[in-house]
Amino acid sequence: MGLFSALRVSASGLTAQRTRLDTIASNLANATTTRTPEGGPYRRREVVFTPQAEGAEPGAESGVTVTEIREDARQPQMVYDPAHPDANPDGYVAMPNVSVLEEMVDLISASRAYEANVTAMNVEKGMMQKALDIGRG
Amino acid sequence: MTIQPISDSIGSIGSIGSVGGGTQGSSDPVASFADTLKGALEEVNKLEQTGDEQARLLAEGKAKDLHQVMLSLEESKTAVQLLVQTRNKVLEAYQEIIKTQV
Repeated sequence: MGLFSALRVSASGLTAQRTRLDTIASNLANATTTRTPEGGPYRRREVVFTPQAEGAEPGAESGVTVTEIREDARQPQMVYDPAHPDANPDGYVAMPNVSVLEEMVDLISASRAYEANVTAMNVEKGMMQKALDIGRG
Repeated sequence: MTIQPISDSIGSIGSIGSVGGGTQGSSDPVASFADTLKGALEEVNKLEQTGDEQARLLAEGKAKDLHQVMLSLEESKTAVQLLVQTRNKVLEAYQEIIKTQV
């Protein structure tokens, strides 16, 4: 366990939450994208977090890392809009499987998780400062 | 970047006492005080340089994560504070000895 290990662990949490935020932003930006290079509408993406395998001993502090950005397997939403350039012969358009409401909730969750990691970091910093104060009195 | 050596080298300051205890005839090589201090200084300097480098990258718009920059700066700040505290303690001990009446 190094001197700054707790700070590093919190930093990995911050990085992970930022990646999550990026993914949510991408989902929101593409909430109405009907054309992708792979064909079909944009598919919602979500991040998969796994603990960082760091120390050899079990129970050692470990950060978090993003191992995968997965596509949501849900079907595209079919919306009736005959005037849309990507509408099928029946007049239906395959819209991305992104629910803006869901993304907003995820966004708040990511933001709060980021704040929690910053708080943990500050507490660790405060503890270090207090330890340095031992010699000061 | 590994930071373990900092605590190692600072921890080995504790072994300075055994330098004075060398009269017992123990022959295990103990790093000299100057070397130990130099090692600690170099480690702190390394952290400082990492902090500087990160700050430069941020100024150039090349930094990937803002929090990594802040973390590096905080790390170097804490390391310097720890170094200063260690120096204060060592100086204090030195002055105590200087004041000894002969």
